[in-house]
Amino acid sequence: MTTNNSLSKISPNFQIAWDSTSIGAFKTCPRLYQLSILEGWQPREISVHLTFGLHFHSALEKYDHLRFGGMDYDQALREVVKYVLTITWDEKKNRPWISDDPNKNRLTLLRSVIWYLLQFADDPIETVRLANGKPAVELSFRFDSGYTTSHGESILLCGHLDRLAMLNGKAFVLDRKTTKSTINSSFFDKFSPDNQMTLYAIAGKVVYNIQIEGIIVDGAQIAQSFTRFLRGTVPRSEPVLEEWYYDLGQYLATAELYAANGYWPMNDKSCGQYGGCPFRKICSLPPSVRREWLQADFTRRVWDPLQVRGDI
Amino acid sequence: MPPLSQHHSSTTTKLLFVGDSGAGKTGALASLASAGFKVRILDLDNGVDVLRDLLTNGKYSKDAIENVEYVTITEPMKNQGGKLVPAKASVWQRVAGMLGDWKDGERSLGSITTWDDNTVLVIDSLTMLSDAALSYILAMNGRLGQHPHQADWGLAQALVENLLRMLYDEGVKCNVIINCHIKPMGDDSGPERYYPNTLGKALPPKVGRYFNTVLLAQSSGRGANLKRQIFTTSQGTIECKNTAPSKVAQSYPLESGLADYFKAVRV
Repeated sequence: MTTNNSLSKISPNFQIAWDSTSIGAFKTCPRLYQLSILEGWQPREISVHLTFGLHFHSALEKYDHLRFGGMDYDQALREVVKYVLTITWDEKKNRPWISDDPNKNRLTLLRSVIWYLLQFADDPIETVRLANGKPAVELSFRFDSGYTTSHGESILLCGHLDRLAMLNGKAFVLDRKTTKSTINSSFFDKFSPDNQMTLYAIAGKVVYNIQIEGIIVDGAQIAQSFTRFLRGTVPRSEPVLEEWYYDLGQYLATAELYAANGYWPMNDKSCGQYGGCPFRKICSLPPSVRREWLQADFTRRVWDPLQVRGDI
Repeated sequence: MPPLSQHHSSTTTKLLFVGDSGAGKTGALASLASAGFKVRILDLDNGVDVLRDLLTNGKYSKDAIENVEYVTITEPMKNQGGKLVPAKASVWQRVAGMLGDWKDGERSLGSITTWDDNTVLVIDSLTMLSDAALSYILAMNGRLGQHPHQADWGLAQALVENLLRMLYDEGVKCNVIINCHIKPMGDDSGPERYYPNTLGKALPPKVGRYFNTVLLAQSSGRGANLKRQIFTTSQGTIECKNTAPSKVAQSYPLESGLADYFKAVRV
């Protein structure tokens, strides 16, 4: 397994580079954080929602790059359709990506990407051009959180932004979200408060040399027979950002304590959240047999927030 | 815990100023300028000409006009299939930008959170501000000039409500006046009532909670008998409220009413 550079060299059970997934997992349940982030366990079957979301993001990122490179709309659209058909084709098995989810499958993915590009053919929101001339899409960021471990190591905050874009001359962080649910104002209410969006708002202000106006959530409702898009703003005032940052310090101190003790307690009030924790079955078993079951039902990967995706 | 005697309502007025078009809401600001308040207007209705006329006709102190600053923010329009629609939707962002850092040409007055209680921020009007919020949502979604979808209304309402909440916050120490038209709304459960004219049906009944004062500008009579007044208490189905019922009159003449009210609640 590859090295995880996000872990402390002094206290190897403690992350010194945190992204919103790591922070979110720890806030949800320290045991979930231990299993999914520190130890890197994930279900053998990758969630269809994750696969669909990754493909949807990747296709629109491809489009942004093509358009930024000077390709005209029609040609870029054709290229993206070809790209979606390619990334959803399993070369080894010589068959398309198969999903038994009626909402999220190859057809609805292709339809969603095409409909998105049709609706936003003349998009009023324009991708920011970075100083290196590249489009500001899939940007990895990292910055010093201002917090240190008890051993004096600096703790970084990091992550990936989908897109930095301008609307009427003002810059926004754009985050794409797919959902089966109806997108209305309640959908956007879910992002306030929200760990990921608040970190993005802070990152936008700290990392990029432009005044970030706010966050726009670029929502796509994926239904069986249609896809609907709606963008909405997610406000973050300075006092809210400051409170989140203060709370983060408390969480980091707690995490360091758990790391030092080598014990990550279970928050059994979170087991049923978000459709149920993937480790629920494991945590229901006696501690003595959990490792065996983990190895049988899960696979391991390294969760390293310092790995760069696009530009940094 | 501060003593009640130091409550901010005695120094800061957050006023929703309601009334029909032509009732004199904009012109009523003249008395505040004359009383020495610094009046800063975000003019979305493109209608401050009446204020200039009043402040130069000799009825108010000569230097009062120097106390008024305004920035007119409107949207350029275009003809689309025989229908006049906004060419772009920048008003909402420009308003938000002005509240964060008031700039007029080279002149910068900073964020409204740095303004003192001798300053009055005026947004004229909530009607246009609400339209700007809806246009902003439509533009963001690539549908400017089209009929709004159901969800657009909710998003635009949330924008307006968040802005009202921000203005009502204690962090905003200056006075705030939002001029607002009124519209009748009713359902099967009761008689029609008048509410602030903003987006949809869910938001108007909630608007009043973001102000410590709701006053009504109303005119009666015609020609030489025209009488314009500012009411501090509810009139018919139009709800008003004030911060000092024992100190304020039930009504004031429009010409001096806002200054009279501000003075009365600060005693």
